[in-house]
Amino acid sequence: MRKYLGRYVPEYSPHFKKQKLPPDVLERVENNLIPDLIADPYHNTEFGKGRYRGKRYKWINRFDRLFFVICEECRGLNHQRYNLCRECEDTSDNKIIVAFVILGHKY
Amino acid sequence: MAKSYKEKIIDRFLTLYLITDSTSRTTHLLETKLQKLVFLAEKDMINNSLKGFNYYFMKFYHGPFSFELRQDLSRLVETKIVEEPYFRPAREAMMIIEDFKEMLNRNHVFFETIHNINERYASLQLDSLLEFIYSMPWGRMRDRTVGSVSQRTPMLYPMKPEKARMIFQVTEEELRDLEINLDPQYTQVLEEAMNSLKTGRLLEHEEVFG
Repeated sequence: MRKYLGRYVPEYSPHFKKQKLPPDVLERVENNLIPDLIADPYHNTEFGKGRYRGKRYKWINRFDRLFFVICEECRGLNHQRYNLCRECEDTSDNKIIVAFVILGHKY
Repeated sequence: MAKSYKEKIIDRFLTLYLITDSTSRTTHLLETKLQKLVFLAEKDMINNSLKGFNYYFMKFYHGPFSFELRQDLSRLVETKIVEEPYFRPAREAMMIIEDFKEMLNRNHVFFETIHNINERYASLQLDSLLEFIYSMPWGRMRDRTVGSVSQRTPMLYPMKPEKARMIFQVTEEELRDLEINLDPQYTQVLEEAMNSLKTGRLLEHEEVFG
């Protein structure tokens, strides 16, 4: 699926900014997860299931996970029907959209 | 004994499955009928030493009733996986069932039980279903009927694992995926984020992290 060979560029949903993430989670996202995703968003990431279809996730720690979309993949697999981004047409293939964090898995 | 979180998630998924499986047989699925179908499925599982459903049921105004099931139905409605009236499964319900196919195959005995109960009883009119349930033999000696036992008599409760011949099998990964699909606390985050992508402007890295 990967077509783009350079570094990916992250963009963020307004909700991601609005989420009040604990400082340690936010720090780990900024310093560890985003650099990894920029280098290779396919590595060590998986697709969400059910209502989370069309979005990939990466674990931040044991209890929290970050959901995101790789634009080239979303178009390639016709996942726009799940993601419905307003700016899809103006977004290039090398973008990854950081959508939200699910905090505090109980299990 | 209080139900474990794992048992709660399994209950919610089995209920969702029962609802989706029943739609082809009944168009007006009211809560009373749904309560009875889950009761029959759980009873059948217990009779066959299968630990699947874990609801507490007691005798109430219209026969067996579970307050926990009522709560789970509200949660399924809150997550918008099931729509009122008549507990119609939304498109998302099918997505969840489809994406957990592996788990369904692994636990096919439990889903076959639910399917068989739906096949036998879901198409019955509520009156006929209630009549059937009231006439079911009850008690250790089977000398009473469901209709004759007094109000608030406990009827079903979660089977102890050591008594079960088979326990519903779910991996930790599946449980974590199920919990974020079936708990309104998480689906609300998903919904808000998706709405913000649908209507809002994407932000650059510096706008978020400064």
